[in-house]
Amino acid sequence: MSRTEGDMRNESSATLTRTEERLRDAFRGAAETIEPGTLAPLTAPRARTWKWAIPIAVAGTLSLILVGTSLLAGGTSRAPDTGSRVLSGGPQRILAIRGGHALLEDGAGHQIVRIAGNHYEAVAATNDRRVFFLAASASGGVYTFYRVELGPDGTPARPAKLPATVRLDSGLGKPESFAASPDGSQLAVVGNLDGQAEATVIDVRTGARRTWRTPSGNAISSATWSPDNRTLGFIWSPGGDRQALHLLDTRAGRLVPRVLRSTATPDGGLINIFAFDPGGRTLTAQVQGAKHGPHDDAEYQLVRLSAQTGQPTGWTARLPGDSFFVKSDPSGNRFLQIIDGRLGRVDNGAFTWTSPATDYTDAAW
Amino acid sequence: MKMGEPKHRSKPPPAGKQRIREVARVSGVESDIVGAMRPPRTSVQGHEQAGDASAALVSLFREHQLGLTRTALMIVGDRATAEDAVQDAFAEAHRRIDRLTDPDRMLPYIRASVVNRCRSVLRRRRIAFSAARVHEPPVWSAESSVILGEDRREVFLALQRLPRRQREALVLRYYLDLGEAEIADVMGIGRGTVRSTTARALAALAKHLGEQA
Repeated sequence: MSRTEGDMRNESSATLTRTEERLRDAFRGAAETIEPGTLAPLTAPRARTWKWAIPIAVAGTLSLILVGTSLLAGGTSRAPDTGSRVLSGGPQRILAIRGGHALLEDGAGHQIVRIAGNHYEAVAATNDRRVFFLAASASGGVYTFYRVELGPDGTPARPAKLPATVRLDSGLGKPESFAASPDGSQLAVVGNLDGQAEATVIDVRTGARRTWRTPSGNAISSATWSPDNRTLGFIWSPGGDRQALHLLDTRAGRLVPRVLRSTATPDGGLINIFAFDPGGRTLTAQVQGAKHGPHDDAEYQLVRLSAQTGQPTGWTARLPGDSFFVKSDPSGNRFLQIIDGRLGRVDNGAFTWTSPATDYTDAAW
Repeated sequence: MKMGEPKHRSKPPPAGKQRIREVARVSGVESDIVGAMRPPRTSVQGHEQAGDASAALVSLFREHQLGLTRTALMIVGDRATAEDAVQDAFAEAHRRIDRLTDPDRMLPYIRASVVNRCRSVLRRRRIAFSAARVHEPPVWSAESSVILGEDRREVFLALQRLPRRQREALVLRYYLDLGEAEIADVMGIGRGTVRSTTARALAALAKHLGEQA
């Protein structure tokens, strides 16, 4: 039997958070205010006549001429630059995940070579930018991992499968759930399994795993490694309105994360994701600003924070939309971004689109 | 139907306009839809395809009008606008009936169309809001708390503090119960983006509601 609009999946309430339960209840309550049988029948308009076709065509042509003239005369376009900053600095190669494939590209989104295999969902780079790790989905929420090394001429070797898998209920589709340590010796995967949030550290060489598991199913995201390959950062809420940036010493005898700061900002914003900068003294975070007045979309920006205190250090960069990760180049001044599936970058505080394609799932450099 | 008579007659269904008229009559849909129908004139096959598509559209309307209107209500906030959005989406689909040849794609198309119309309404409303600052949609208005209850109203008020995309993702996921692929289809974004957007929306909503995500 086909599902109709508004049917709810039989989902155990035990798997829902309080927020999800309240959301479903509110939707259910609002839906019931429109009772079946009280809606008007379909009234389709009669066929269009084309008496306005010619005036509309003339007006459209005139508009095109005016816009074209304006642009040629030096008028500005609201469309962002495409490729103007390509290869103007930063790494020359980007490993991108598009349509389940891993592609080595130049900075303008031009494919150089496709890497063997498919079902890839995420990619993470190491500090030397020659070793990358790929996460691929298998059945049953299981993820496998591959190591790819670029040769001296930039040619990628065949991906080598790592002796470790991770299973997640929440999926790895969120790129911010997967990170490689700068020296390439460890991977980190954060997500939810069996109703619990967890962070798993994988030894790349042996496949050995060490997992920090929480007693709750609260959302966990934003995996990032410190430059000393020891501290794993992530965003998680231990309960209540206490979502915060956490730091976990992965070499400690007992895994106990400490809170760096709340995700809430004084002006009503919310930190969605953060990453260690290469120097280790600062973090770069993406902040979703509060909606102001009648505007329906929030403002998004990159903000630099102190790694010691979590407080802003002054540097900010505005983004055109909600990006899903913060991936710095070795200088710490350039960041890859994916917004609505489109690749962009921030260079010293200024955002630029680098490719017109809109099918990017993840990318690293 | 007589006993023993096969469910599907061997005689092919009437093509083109006659077929649409029949479906519309059986469905109780207003006859305007018939008047608006202009089957393609290229071939007999074209007539049959258009008739089948129209029949599927009518069936889709009967089956999903309520759910789609409720969905639009969650996004725009008031019933009248929600009804208009759904009516307009079906009317537009009807105008483009020649292109809707795949029945499996009709519902995703209509859903996306409804969501797009809701966006347009909100955009226009923002302009009006800027000028007059008087708009207060009923679902999250103070008056609605009598019907919905204060707890539900609080959720809707928190929803209104989310960016448009996050709000849409939550409605599609937690009201329509669509999967990632379907939400991606409706919103015109990637599956990974859906996942992240939903997770962030829940986190932001939890923050506004003062509870855990």
